[in-house]
Amino acid sequence: MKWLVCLLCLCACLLGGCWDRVEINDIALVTAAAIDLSTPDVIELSVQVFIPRSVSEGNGSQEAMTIIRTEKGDNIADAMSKVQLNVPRKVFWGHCRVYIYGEALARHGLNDFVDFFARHPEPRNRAYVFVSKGKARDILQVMPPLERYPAEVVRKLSDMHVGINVTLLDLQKMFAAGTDSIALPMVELMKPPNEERPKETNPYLSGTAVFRNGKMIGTLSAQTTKGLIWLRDEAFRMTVTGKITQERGLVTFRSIREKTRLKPRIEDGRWKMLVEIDTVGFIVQNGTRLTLDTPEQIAKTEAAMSKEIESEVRLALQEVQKELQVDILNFARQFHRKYPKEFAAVRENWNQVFSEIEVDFKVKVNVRRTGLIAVPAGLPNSDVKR
Amino acid sequence: MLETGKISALQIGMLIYPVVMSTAMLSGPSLMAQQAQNDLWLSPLWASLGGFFSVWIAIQLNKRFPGMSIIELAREITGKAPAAVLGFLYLYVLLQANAVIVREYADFIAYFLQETPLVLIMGALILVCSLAVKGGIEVMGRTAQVFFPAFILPLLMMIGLVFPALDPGNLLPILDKGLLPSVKGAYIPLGWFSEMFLISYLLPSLSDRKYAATSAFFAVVGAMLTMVIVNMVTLFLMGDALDNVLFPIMDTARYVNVADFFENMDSAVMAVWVIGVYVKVSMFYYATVLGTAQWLNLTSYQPLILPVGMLILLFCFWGVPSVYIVKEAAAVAIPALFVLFFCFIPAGLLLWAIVRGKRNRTEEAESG
Repeated sequence: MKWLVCLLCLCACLLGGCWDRVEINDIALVTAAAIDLSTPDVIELSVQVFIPRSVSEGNGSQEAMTIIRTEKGDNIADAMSKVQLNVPRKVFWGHCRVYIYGEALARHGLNDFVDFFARHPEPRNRAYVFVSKGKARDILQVMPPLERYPAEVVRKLSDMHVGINVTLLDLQKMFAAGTDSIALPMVELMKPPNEERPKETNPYLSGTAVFRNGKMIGTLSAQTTKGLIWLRDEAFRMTVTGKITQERGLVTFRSIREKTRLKPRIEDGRWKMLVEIDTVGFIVQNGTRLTLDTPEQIAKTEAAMSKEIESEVRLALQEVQKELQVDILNFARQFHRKYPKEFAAVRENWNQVFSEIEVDFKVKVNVRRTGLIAVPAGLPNSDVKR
Repeated sequence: MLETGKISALQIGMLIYPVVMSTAMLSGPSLMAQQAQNDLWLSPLWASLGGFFSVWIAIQLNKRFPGMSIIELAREITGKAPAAVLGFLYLYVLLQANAVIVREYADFIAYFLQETPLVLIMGALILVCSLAVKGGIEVMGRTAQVFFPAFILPLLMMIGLVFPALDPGNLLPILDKGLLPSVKGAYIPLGWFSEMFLISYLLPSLSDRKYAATSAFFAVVGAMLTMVIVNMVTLFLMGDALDNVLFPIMDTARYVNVADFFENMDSAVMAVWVIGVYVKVSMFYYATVLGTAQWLNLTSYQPLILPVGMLILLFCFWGVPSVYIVKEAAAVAIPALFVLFFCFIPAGLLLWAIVRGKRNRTEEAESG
């Protein structure tokens, strides 16, 4: 019996894991990190650290809930070690969900700035990665009116699929794929509504940054990004406004299901891609005189919406394929899967081949419902075309 | 007989399934992906042939020599002196293999418990395993049975929760460079599957002998299927980045996120890994202890438990200077060693026994 007690006591010593115990009030939770280029050899790392006390004292005051610490360094780890010097708690990356690279750094090249986050055991692969217009640090500094801190704003916008979404894992995959093409969402600060209080604004997703060989070479506007996310099969709750042929006024459609399939073909040495878009949704606004409740009228509407989606997508395709000539549409992956031998032969100069691919579209829109009224509101009944 | 406990065929299956899977859970997918790229799901199929073979040999040997482990039956087949040498080699291989397993486990844990001394992580595991071995085969069988759901369920849950993020298209193009890469990828898991020969130490204690083959068969098939599924899931999630990561299954678990509050499942995967390693290390530990007792003609294996445990701990440092050497050894030498000792030598012994017409009649009469 005595022996057993001794043994149990001995075992208890092993249970604590004493060397690595971490108390919650000994760690500083990083909520976002921003990496900027200071001079070509020096980077500037800014981390936004959550202040736990601000939650318990939460009386709706305008005080910041986070602090920002910025340090310069030769690389991220070096800057990080300097940040730690003036944060009294151990910096913890496990809750960091937003990483923002500054535009200058992105144009200089991202290759050296992924390893730290991929190698470190704490950062989550699901965290989102962005490129900021201007300095990344500025994004962290504002105090958004609706959320607790700016990182939360961009994260929630990303969850709503406003732009393309790229996680740390996606970024690693894009580098590993070796096709030299990367796209990251851009974030930008909204112009402050009240100029006397310039900090009361929030970041928003303003488009897409396009990279070749790890260096940012161009951007796509928010409008073009809409087409891009259709192409990348990331479309989510899209709003499409278009004109029905031979009708006046506009109709707006909102999707609830979206699916894009890329079907590669090689015919007589010509590389072709068929983009098939299927979407289901509602009519949310009807500015025409049609009731939209007969099969013929719905068919017309669906055709109009398909045309509109196609033109949106063509706009994005034009910019990506003909102007930037960077395959951020994953065409390479599709061809690799279906035509491994042919693809291997052109892998080296893929971006050249990519810019010459003929793309066809097959857009299918399915209007499920048209809302709570049977005729267009705001018109006398006599004007309605039944 | 040294071991008087009895276990069921089901428990045997549950003991040898984690022997293969616990190592495969750690870095299996990326090790196979490095060779086989996106054909890595085929590799376990080839590798499992080694498992079927070694288990079949173990069962055939057990049929001829019921109640005997490889150490004892080698003496029956080859005579005293060669058997002594062979027995020593077996014990040495088991000891060294066990040390590598414990060290791999500790190095993995040390990624997260960076400040805890390795010796403590290893010592804690060996202590627990020594208690299991002290309890004998019945205790090991039962703990394996109790822990089995805990080993499987978190894995299934992880796959279910990460499902929406998977892209099955990553499987294509199938057999891009022919069959060879997937066969190359099977080399390392082949070593793990041959470890199933440890069933040889369990079969003498089996209570329902007629189900032995069925249970072992299902354990091999189960391990093979689990590996195929796990390989596919990690490939579907990580695609081209799969061979870059060290611990793909843990990364997959970390990727789980349900409604922003159910996340960080990696602790569950670590728990699975600890349970699996517990069973695996106990198995090797038990085989070493029992084998040594048989080799030395002792009347009980109990006094050997602590010394052998101490030796395992020492071998963790002596035999394994660093993680990189483990990695190199695990990629080339260890699979070859395991296949030699757990497939070819037993097969040679079986062949010899058949040619010389040797079998243990007295034992058979007793049990039959």
